[in-house]
Amino acid sequence: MFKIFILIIFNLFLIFPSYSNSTNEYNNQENGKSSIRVDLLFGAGYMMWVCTHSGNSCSSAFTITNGTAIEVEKGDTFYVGIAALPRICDFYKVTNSNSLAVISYWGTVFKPNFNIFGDETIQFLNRETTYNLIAGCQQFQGKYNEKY
Amino acid sequence: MKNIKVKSSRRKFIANLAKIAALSSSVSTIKSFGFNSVNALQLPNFPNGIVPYLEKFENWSGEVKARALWTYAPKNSLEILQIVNWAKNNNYKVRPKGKMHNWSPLTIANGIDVSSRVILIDTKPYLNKVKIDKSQFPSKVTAETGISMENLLNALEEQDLGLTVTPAPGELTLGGVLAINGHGSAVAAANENSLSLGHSYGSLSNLIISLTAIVLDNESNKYILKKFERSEPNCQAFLVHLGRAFITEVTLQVGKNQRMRCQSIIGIPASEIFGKEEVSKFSFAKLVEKNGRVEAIWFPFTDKPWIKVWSVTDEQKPKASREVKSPYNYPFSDNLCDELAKMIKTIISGKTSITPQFGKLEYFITAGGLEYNQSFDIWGWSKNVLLYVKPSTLRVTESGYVVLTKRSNIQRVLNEFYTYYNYLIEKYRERSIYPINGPVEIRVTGLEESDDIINTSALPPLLSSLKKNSKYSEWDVGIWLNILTFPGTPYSNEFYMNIEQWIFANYSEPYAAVRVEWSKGWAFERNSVWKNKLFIENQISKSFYSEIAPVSDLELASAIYQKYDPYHIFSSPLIESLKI
Repeated sequence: MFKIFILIIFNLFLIFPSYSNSTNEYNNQENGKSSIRVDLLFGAGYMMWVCTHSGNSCSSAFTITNGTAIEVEKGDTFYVGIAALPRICDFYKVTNSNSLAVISYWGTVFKPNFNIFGDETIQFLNRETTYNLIAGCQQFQGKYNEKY
Repeated sequence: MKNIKVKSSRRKFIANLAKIAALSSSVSTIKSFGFNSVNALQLPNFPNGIVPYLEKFENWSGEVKARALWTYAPKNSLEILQIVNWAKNNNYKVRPKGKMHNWSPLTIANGIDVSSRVILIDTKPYLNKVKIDKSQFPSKVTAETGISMENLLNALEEQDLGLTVTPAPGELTLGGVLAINGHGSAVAAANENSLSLGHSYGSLSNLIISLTAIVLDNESNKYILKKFERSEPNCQAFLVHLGRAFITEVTLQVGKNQRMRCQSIIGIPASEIFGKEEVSKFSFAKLVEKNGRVEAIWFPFTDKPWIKVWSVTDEQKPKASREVKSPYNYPFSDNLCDELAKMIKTIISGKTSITPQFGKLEYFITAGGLEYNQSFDIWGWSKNVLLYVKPSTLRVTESGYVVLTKRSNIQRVLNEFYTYYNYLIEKYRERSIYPINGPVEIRVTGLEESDDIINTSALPPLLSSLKKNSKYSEWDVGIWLNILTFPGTPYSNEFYMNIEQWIFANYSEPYAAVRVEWSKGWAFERNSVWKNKLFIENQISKSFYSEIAPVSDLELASAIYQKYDPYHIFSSPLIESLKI
């Protein structure tokens, strides 16, 4: 039990993605991109980040106190990673241009739920889980790039 | 009481007492207020067969009360005529009574009693028939004005018909809603064409095709029923009449029922929702642009409003939505939890410093309730997502205004309001004063577009807050600003007065203009509401005046009322103060 606890702490604070781009980047031009915002609702106290560009460009970690917004293009796939054990990776596909969507996560770190406002703009693909914290969610990205 | 002539014989007197005693609930009211039998006989020569009773009147927020007033529930329009003609001859006022879900004292003044010579006509029990005609496009519904909105919408739903605009409480009577240009929150979404289906984005009054009003017939000097078509100039004053008329029946244009989805968002900060246009893509205006139907409820001292976004969908239920088959799907907002009730008691007792915690608890209950009740994303027939306020919800008072402007100004209007509201709240907080303990509520609707009424040369409702200003044809939206608080909260009227002055000064032509929301709070003074004479004479009159029209809409409406009700049978002190 203690080992699991240590692993969770390790997971949350040490193996956090070091690469990030700035949060809340907004571009008001009609540039074909859609804006996706990810919020954590009350009760969801876990850390998460959002990765685009085949998993290479990720937001800073954010928690209940803030959301993040990303600019994506139609056809992109991206994932929202949740720092739990196993790590949770929710994959989404962008299906619309010049639009916006809000993904709201809620619930516990062990069983996170979400709502999508703007499901004509993004489509939820699948939830992956992994104990491989080194490869993380990115290990699945290729699969979704190919499939969608 | 000696000057009151009672023409009853002793037998009639005893019979009357028996009738009065037979009134179960009303009798208890009479007893509890210590009325005596002499008071109960103050209606000389009252029409035979019509037995009025004494009943308590209390409006939604409890700010307008009468311990007992003569009341009668007529079985048909002819009975109303009998009472109205009796009232004319006996110098009484006749006031229609629905669910009393109103804030402003348009029906009666606060604190009156039987000596005030007022008789209330309760339209709910019998005047609620409805008839639907689908033989031509657009479909029509003819309804008596005592029908509740929920019952009307149920009847429409059975015939695959519905409304785009309707107030959130289903208990309201149709007559009450039409009297004060009741509205919802809707403008057209991108690529939406609900107009072609017979819908409209203005107030419910804009859907009226014809109506029947009680008016004076000059020849007989008696009040009669008269039907007005929407194309008739005089009809304009009856579409929204504030209680200065009595409408018994209306025919409305109705559209095809729609499947609608309502999604809640509670994670976007107010600084973005109400921020400047360039601050965020997740602004109120962007949501309106995308979906057309948006409402924000922003609890005090919290940073994230509860946003509801409605969208019209096809017959297929969106995968993520929960189907709802009845209205009122936010039970957490209709029922008070113990903690909230305790805090309310504390605030009402004058300890308002807990207001910030109270606001946070309201947000917490909303967030938790949306999760627990799976109400984040609901879908169903329009009625089931458009009606969401039950009578058991928290009863508060509120100020109400609508800013008329161009759709492209929505975000500017809201950002200015947000900035000033924050400034004012902070200014009070610095003095440890918390005048506002309820949320700010924002809705956006279209204006009264007469062209929305198909196949008729419709004229606009003269007294609608959403009537278009003929000088600014490009203005196409009304942005509703409501600030809620418990009645009697210390300094609340002063706060309302300050923000009212700012609102009217800030939203000025050619950028925008403001009108009051008739049913709510306006004309504030430091310690009162609806009593600021200067405000009523200047701001309200001005808001119904257009430089390119020869007379103001208030004056025009007043002339029509004078013509059809010269005895002011249908009036109240507040209405008189508006000079209509």
